Amino acid sequence: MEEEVPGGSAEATDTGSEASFKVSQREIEDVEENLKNAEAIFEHLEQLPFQVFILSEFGKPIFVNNDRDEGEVVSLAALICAFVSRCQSWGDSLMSMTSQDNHIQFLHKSPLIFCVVSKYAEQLDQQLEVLFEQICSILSKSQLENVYKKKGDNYDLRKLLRGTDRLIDSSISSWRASPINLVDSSISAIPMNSSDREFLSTTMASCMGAAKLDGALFGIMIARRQIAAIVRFKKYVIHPRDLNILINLVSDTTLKTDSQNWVPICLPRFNDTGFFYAYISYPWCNKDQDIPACLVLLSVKRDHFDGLKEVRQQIVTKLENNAKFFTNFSQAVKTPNLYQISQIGSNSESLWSFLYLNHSSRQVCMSASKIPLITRTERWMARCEMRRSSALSTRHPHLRTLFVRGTKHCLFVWVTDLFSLYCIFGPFVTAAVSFQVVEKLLKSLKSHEQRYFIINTTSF
Amino acid sequence: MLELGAQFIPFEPDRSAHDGNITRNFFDTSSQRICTMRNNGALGMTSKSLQNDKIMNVRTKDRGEPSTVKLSPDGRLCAMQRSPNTADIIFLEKTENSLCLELNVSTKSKEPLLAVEWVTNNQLLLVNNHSAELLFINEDKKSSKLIKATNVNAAWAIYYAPSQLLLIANGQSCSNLQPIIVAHSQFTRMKNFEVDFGGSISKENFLEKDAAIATIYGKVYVMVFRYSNRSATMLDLYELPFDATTVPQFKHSLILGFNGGCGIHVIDNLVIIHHQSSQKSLIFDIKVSSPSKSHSPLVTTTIEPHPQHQPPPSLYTNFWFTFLPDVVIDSAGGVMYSLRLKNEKSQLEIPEKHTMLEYLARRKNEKKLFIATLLSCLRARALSLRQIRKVFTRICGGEKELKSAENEAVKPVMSCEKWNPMIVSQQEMQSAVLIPLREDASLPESYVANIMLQYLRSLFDASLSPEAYLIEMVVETLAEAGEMSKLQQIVTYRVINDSKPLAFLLLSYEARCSTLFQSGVDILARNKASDEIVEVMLEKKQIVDAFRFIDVRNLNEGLIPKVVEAANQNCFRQTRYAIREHLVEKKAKASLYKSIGDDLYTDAEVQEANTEQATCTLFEL
Repeated sequence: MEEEVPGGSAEATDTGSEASFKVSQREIEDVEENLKNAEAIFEHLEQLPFQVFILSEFGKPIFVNNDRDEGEVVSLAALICAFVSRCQSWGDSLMSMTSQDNHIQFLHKSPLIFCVVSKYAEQLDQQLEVLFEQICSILSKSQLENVYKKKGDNYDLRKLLRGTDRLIDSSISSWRASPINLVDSSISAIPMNSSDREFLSTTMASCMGAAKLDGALFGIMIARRQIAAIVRFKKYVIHPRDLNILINLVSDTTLKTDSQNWVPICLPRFNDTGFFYAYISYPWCNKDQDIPACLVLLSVKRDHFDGLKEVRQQIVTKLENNAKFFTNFSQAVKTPNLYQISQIGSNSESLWSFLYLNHSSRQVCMSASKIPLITRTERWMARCEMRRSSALSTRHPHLRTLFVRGTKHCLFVWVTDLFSLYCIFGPFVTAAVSFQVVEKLLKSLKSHEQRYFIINTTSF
Repeated sequence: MLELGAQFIPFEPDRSAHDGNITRNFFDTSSQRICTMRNNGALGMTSKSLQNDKIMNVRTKDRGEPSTVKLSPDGRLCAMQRSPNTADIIFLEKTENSLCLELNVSTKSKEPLLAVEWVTNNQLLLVNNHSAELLFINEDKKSSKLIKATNVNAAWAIYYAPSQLLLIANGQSCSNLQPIIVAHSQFTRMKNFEVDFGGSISKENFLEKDAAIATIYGKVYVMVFRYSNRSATMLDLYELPFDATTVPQFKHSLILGFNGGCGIHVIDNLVIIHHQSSQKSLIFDIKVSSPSKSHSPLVTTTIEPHPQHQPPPSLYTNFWFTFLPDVVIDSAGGVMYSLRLKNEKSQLEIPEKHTMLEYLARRKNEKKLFIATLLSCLRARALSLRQIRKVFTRICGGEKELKSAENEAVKPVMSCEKWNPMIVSQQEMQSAVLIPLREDASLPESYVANIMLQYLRSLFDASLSPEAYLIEMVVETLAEAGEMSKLQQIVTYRVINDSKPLAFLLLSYEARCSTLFQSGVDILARNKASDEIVEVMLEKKQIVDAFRFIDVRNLNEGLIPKVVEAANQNCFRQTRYAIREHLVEKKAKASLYKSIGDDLYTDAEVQEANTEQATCTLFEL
């Protein structure tokens, strides 16, 4: 910062004036300098899709993405903290600030303050909640609350979160990459034959059940950030947001070895005070084969490592023994075969992309990429349209169908009690034609339901 | 505001000299001539008029002192009343340097004559107590013949030549007036009516000198002085209908505010009353002052002599005689003057600008002055918008409709001079008022724009369609004033007619008000100018919209290559792809979209995208 001070020029303009004025001039110059700095910072912020700040209530920075300069972060953190605490002193809470196309969202969850600066206004509040849950998953909420009481207001939480920055980072990245599922608390299932999925889940359930481990509650097969199968103990259910925390965890490349991991994790939607112990293994991620499937077994008991290791071995053996299944499975997991729009049939060329969300099972089905939405930018723009219309339908619950003719494409949204459907059509489609295509699409999805969705969660 | 003697003519004043020579002057209201009789015509009779320079000089026999001298319209005959019961017709023309020939005429009953008037060049009207008779005078034979006679009961009679109207007073206090039209050798009686002259014990009868007839704003009025013991004198105006079946009605009452001797003039549809003792003249405009029946003077002023009279004549003297419409005769000085309005002074005399403009708008031949005054008032921002609109409506001819609707119903028997309101054409308005206002940098543009809108509205009220140049100027001014919403409204509600130039003008304002662009396109669409619309869209780089438009309108394929070309230059490949697919679907000729190319997407990137999408790969943009 020092080098940016235009001290020389200030001196030069000074030459004609009295020395006694110098002090006051110096002060003005500093203010201007700060302003200039601040402007530069804001300009920089404007260009980022998402800039996240996490800090303690006392203004101590905890996490900032995009590798920002330390000094800059401290001053911005102080600013955010001032905003939030001032509003709190009024007995109010600061939610968001908006300038032209810059949106700033705040979330104050004692003892933390979350803030995101983004070009996109939609779903920022939910995103911050996800971040909060992400941090809870590492520390648990009760521990988080206690730590400041024990260690004092000035405690640097970064000591506790050491090494988990990349989890938060990838959680933020997934806002861009995955469809709206994450913030919408939904998951997507990896497309599989119904018989294969049936075999996979019954195998997992039977092995878990046979082990009779009191406290082992869930078994989940995850691949490509999608769920292949999920089994549960009796009536216990796992929230999609918790699942997404797990997905985020197992997608972390540092875990991806052929060894096993025993990770304590809090699933805040399940219980935000206690910890699960996750037995995480990548059974087929070794020199011989590279099947990116991950088996997660969750138990509430700390000493279940050996028991779950055995369960894992049984599952792997059983699966590998069924050669036909295993071939299909490895294929489905290696290159997931998403729903192709051409499956709808004739006249579907004008449909470019769609996203179907089943409200009851919280599962989404997304179309495979299709020309002309190819580059990351092209796909992201289409995704943004969907996000925006999703936010719109949340804000206006009476909105059922929407057809927008844009200059680049047409948008078709259909929201019912059962599902939400967001479609991107080519620009020359009429509302009537798009509706016909959508009806066909719904029929087709219904008939292939078991392939693209997990219909039943097997329990043991 | 009143000027005496722009026209004047001297004459020999009345005198009775010791040598026995007598000079008498008579003013003939019908022919507007002053006749000077010297020694009852024996030493000569001279007649002069302000209107022309022709001076008539004849000599007649001295057969006693005449009481009236009336000249026929063509000036060839003269009727003179030398005895109460008979009139003499004097043939003026054919007697150069010798005595004139004479013919003595009288009514059948030989009763004393109340009026002797020329109706036409050779028809003479004689009125006595019991009858009105129309005589034909044969100039060649020097004889007279009775054409028509009608029985009347007359106390006195006055004749109004411009409408050939004879007004007869009868009844108990002479306040019942009977108008008779003397035209086409016929007497046509109109409905009689009673006037209120403020009769009292001291003033029993309604007198001839308290009545006058004049044409004001295309209507004939009988003006009656109404005296009152309690309040000041009023001048009541009774409107005579044009047909014979409607009863004349009391229409206006002018509040004079004084008592005493006064003279009356009607100049340019204004009633002007001169009050001798206060030396003031009151100007009334029955159309301007108030909507009610009673009117206060619009202007109270004093007559000024024309500078050509040196030394200036004394004004409002006892020797003044005033005659309708504008004649002042100074019997002592022996000069006949005309009185003239100096409207250019109205700015000083009428403080209220709107009233002044209303006043000027009704004056004859004052269009230039009116326009100049209007411009200066607008420049000074002296009028409210409401007033501006009223003035505009007046000069657009908005009043005309009301007038013509009124008197169509019945067959007219009376005629009078028509009044034509001042009409200012759109062209005059533009060149003399609107453009100077626009160019006046000191005026806010929005004010000028509002004035123009008011003018436009007035044109609509008068069901005139505005000229194209006017519209263009209004649009430009509105745009300059930044009154985009108003501009939008007049376009949207089709206040101004659609035209292609207007459309392009609106398109050019898009930068300042984006909605105007749509208005412009709408106009083009209404004009079915599809090709232009496509051009405009391409210009705006709205390629997709252009294509949609071509689809909707089913336009020919000739436009497609142009649009494809524009797409190639301006659009992302996504859009180009969409266009190509669309044309394929429409089964358009392949040559039309060949230039888009087939290689928009490479297999490699399609493959990569597929994988990324399928594996939910995280990415940064």
